[in-house]
Amino acid sequence: MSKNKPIRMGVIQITRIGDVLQTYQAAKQLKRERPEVELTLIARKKFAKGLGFLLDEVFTNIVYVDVKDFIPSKTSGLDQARQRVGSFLEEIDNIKLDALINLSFSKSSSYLASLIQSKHKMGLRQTKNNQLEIRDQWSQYVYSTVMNSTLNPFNLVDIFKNILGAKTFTPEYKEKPRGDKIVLHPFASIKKKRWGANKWVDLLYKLAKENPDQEFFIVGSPEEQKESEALMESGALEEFRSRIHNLTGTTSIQETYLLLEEAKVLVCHDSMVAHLGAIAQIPTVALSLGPVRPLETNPYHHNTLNIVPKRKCFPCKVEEKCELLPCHKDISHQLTSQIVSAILNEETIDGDFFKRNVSPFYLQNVSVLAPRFTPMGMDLVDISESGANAEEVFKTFYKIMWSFYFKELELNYPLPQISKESLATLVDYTRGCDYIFELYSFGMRFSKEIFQEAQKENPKMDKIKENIGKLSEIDDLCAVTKQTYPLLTPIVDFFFVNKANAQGTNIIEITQSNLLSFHEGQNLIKIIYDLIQNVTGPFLERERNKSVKDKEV
Amino acid sequence: MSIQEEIHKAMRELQAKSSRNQPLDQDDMRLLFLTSLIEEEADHVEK
Repeated sequence: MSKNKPIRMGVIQITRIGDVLQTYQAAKQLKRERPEVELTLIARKKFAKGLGFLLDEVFTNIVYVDVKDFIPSKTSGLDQARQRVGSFLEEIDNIKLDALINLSFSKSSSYLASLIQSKHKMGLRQTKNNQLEIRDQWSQYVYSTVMNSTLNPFNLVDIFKNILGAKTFTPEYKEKPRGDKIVLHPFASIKKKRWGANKWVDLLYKLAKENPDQEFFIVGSPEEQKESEALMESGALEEFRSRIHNLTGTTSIQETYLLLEEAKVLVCHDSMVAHLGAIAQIPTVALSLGPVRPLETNPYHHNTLNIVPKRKCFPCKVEEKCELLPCHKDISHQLTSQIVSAILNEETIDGDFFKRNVSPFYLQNVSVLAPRFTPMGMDLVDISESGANAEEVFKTFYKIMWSFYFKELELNYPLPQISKESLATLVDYTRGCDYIFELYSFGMRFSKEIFQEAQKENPKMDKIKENIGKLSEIDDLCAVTKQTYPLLTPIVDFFFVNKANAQGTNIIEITQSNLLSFHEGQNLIKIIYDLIQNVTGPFLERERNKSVKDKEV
Repeated sequence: MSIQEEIHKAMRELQAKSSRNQPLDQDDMRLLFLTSLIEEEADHVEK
């Protein structure tokens, strides 16, 4: 390829607006590092159109997907719709993409990725036999872990950066002057993710009362207008009404962005505005509720604090019904207000701050997480020092393990502080690691037998079939083991997807790929086992010494 | 026939083709892209 010829890369992102913004952040980094790359974004019209003011800086072309363009009226026929899809594809193919990356992980995007012509493809696509195919490891990781478990230790922007091939995993940051304005976005896509109006009224009342110099701006989409009006009607806010401006449904996304660029603090849930705030680099207090996975969708910049419930059912699944919404009560408006006021007063918010200023009562059921950036991207550190549960400890383990597996990076983390309950769980998991290790050993043995038999001049099909049956039994036993040890799910699921997408065109090549998968799986489970030993060892030693001393007494 | 009925009919034909292990062609893929896009559009409605 000649030096001056641009590399044309297509990016499919046809999920929601927040994902488009996170894709923009990752693509912007790639463009900074590789200005010769010409990027084309393929996104849903309704989610990307309003973001043109940002997307145009990074993407040379933006192709909008809209069902209405394919089926404009009730009288449209299927043949016409197919033809319109054809013209739409032609428009993309005319760009002559060198590479196509599907960041969407949805069914429609997998068909679209198959239909678009490109020399290289990454991410989900469909084969001619209508089967899902994922060749690259990062996309296999997203499909097996991010989509199905709460144990993903990476922010989505970092995952997108890895898939796109960016090399820098810290966001840019520029200090800028900010006015006496506080922006509130009291909404989110689903009820489980957002506080009710009363909690927001309590917060707004306290903030307005304690910060008389500040003006307050409520932002949101036209669909959120009704809710914001209900909030504004509260009698409690009567005396502050002149300082509270309800902009919900009246401003464009660009106008909201400009407001975020000049305001002092944003308080919000996990939503599009949170990601917009990250791009505007506004200090942000995010309230994570319901199915929100704090690290995965934390606004990607330095100045954020994420208040996160500590209860066992958090984060839940979107489809799980929950009438009482207990995690909504865990985060108090008093704690939120104290943190916002500290940001306004430019106080250092760390463990000492919480010890000195915050009642333990408000910290009983929550952690306050702040970002820290490593060579693998964003981490969230518990600055309220509330102690890690087994799931959080495992997330740290996975960060270390996947960083080594995908990028051979050895991250240096301090050993997490664990509670007594976590200790017992972790010790129990060494047994789960043993089981998986042994199952993968059998996987290697049966794969070798298939490989050796297939290489013979006259291979015995019965023997090969028998071993394939045994491999399928191993998959079943791994599935049973992960039910007993759910924190091992990411490893089991990743290698299941990895094996299902084994490279090769014949049984010998596919078996070789499987053999490698089992071998790598064994190595990773060994890393988890060793990390558990390292974390629990000193605690167990202390317990043993204590019991010896007790006996002596 | 409405477009909905046309889509249902085309999907039934596609299922039959699939059960005969026949590979999908470009036209089938376009139909599957369109139907999955419509399905997801419904999912994007506020819950």
